[in-house]
Amino acid sequence: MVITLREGGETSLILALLFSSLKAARHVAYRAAAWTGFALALGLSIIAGVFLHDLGELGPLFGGSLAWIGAGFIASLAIQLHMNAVDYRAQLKQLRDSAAVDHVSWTTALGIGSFAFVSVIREGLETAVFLANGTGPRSDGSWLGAGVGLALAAALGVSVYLGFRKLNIRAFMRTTEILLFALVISLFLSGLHEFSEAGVLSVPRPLDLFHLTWIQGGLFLQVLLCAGPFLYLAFAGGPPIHYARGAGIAILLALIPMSLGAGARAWEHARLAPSDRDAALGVERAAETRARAMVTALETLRQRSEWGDVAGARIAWVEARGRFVQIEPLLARVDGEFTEELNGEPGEGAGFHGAEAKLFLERAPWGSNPARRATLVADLGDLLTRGRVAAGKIDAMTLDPAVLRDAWTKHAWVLRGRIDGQECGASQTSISEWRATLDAMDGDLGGNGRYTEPVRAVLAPAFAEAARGPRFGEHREETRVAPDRLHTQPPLTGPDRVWDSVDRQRLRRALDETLARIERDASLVARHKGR
Amino acid sequence: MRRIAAWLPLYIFLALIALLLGSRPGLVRHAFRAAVERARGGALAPDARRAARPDSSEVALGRLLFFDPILSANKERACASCHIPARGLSDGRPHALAIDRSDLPRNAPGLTNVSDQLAFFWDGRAVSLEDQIDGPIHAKRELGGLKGREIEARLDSIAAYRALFREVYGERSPRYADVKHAIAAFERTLRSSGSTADRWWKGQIAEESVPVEARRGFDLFAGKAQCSRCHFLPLTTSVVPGAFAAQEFTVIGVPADPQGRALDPDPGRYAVTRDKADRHAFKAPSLRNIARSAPYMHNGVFQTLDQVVRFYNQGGGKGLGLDVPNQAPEVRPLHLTVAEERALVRFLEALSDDSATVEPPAHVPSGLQVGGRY
Repeated sequence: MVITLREGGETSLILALLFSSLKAARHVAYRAAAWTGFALALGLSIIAGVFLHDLGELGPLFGGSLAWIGAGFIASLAIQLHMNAVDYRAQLKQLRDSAAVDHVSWTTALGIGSFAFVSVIREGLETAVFLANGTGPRSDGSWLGAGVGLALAAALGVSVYLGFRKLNIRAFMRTTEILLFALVISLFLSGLHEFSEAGVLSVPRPLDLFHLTWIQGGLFLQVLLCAGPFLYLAFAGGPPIHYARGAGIAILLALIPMSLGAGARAWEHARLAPSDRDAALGVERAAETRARAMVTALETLRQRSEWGDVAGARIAWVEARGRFVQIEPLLARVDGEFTEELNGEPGEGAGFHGAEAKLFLERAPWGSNPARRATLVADLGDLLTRGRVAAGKIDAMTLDPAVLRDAWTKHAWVLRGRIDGQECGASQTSISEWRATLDAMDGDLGGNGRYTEPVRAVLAPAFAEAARGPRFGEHREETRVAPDRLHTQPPLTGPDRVWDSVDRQRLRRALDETLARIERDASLVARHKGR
Repeated sequence: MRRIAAWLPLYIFLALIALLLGSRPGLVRHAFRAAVERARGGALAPDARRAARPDSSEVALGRLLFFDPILSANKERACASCHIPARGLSDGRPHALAIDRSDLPRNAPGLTNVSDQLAFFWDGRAVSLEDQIDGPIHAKRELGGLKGREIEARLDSIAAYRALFREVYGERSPRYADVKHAIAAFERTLRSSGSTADRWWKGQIAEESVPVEARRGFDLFAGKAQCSRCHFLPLTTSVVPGAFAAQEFTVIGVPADPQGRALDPDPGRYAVTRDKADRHAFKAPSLRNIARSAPYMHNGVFQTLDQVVRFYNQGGGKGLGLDVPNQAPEVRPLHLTVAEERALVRFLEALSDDSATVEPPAHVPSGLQVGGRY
């Protein structure tokens, strides 16, 4: 519901600004063109939602192109508004008195219609595909949520439109120009992000992080909304009391998305049986605690790395990684793509595995080399920002006990993959990852350990061995291996040795048994079927 | 003039989009084709198109076309010329044979469980089996580059084919699109799931009946040797499990010669994406029946599985001392002992499945030599 509200909110704001501008010009033909574009895009979005389930690799290319076309339209609109504003100052009275403008430019009408079309279809398509896939923590309520969200967002746009006649047109136009310019930046960055996802260009990390924290989460839009009244007042002038009113409106605008989010969560909880409601709240609190612990550990990690404290950084990394694997299945339900990015790949800068490779490989040369340390600290700053965004997503999600079963069983592939162990340099953390995962499964599913008992039985000796101290083996980059050393096993130390002694086949069978127990648990199944 | 200036930002953004997309034509084409194929298939899993029953008339037609040289310009080469059933549906040559009997740039991949893939060819430039079939048929050096209309005319002139196409696809003359559908339907039946390893994983045979070395090899495959980091289980392809919606391409630094004196110059996936990170990246093939589809790698540089395992054990191209800037971090010296290398090979051999062998038809409707002349 919150997602669809955000998608619809941005579109409604853009359209409200468009229709308000058109109302000032009293161009009936232009308004008709805008409404036609709007209706066409809405219809196409609905059709796409019915027939398309996933645009696949085309999605980011399509999304990026639409975002930039939208940015181009808005920039053009802002320029036109600015040009017309000169006329407004001179001919404001004449414009107000005229019933209609004599000359209608059909190219402009076509442009306006296209703009409305692009604005709506850009977000509409994404929302429709999202709804058609039924992804998210509670897919059964997403259609209703979408309806409410879009209606509320539309109401916001309509209220701006209807209140237009009481506005100071010149001040409103100037405010609109600034807001449109900010929207151009927002759309440009969204397009950059999409093209980067499609692999056609690489975006500098600061820009990508700005997009992740400000644009993608809707914060930029909220700040724009709140800044609007002040900008308007600054241009319109007036007594101080007007500024107080403006502040009131800004606070109201800030509160709307917050209260809607809280309302959506309360509504989701209200639909649960009382016993499930308590369990849901408990699980949500636990997930939020784990996410916050992950962020704290990431902060420590960055600090230790800045100090060149190799051992301290590695310990913090293991703690952060353990917390991440605890929230991973839940986070994946909210935003699978983001979760994969946060997990990362060895050799890539962002994400856990990227940082892991640098922290543990090559005997950690960053401990003594300031240049390498600076690169690592920058990577960890990136990871920390992503971790904070993840915590925000966990805070905003609504869970109930029934979906947790799905979350953990659908996570089976990741868990089986974890048996591979030596994914990259920090394979020694596998033991602590397993312990963290099993703890989270027990906590989330309320099984008092009965689900995870088979896996714990296999891993018990390894847990005991690893608990004796945080010892981390050393790896180093090797290029050419001398033939006489090819078959020489390098000595394993600490938890590396522990993990190497784990019977993988027994562990695989034990994990299958654990997942089977969750699948066939009567109480979880009954609750799930009752939805 | 003012009106033109007002729309300038839009023109600039449109030009930027055109520049950006124009700089990656291969990627855009690939994405469009993938979207169309997904819309047709309806789902994302590798088996998105439900395999036709092996005894269906469409598969039977596809089998005939697969072995019939009628699809080649000189009527002497068939799909089966490079995908020979007795050789793991590969051809046993380092480089596939061109229609002029010269060498093609790459090795002919085995087709066992080919429908487990999401991307086809070593560089993944095709996004469906139907899409892939276009490649060899239209390539002048492979099957001679016949056009769709020419193939339709040839098939329409053969009464047996006319009847078969009518039976499978209704009242119409043979269409090139249906040729692709039929061959793809046949290829989707080229499945192996009865290997020793498969039966062990499914619990159909006791663990003790699997050779100890093969079992140890499986542990190494999933653990120390890190094979499953690219050949994901259970498919053993690089299709990422879970959603099965993406396929990975990896840089391992395959040398141009077995001695490892130079890096193979083939740009691989880079030719499709034009992304520097994809330079020398290739798709990890399925490992089903891998013991039968020697030689190995995109250039057939290694003749035996022992050589392949040793290459990985040394740390890929970097391990041979080659300069491979984008080599995957997991491809590094593995320090497998000689016994472990052997165990790994035994496990790979345990992925062989006799039940997946394809029987060529006794004759094909064109009357040409089954499987081609060379």
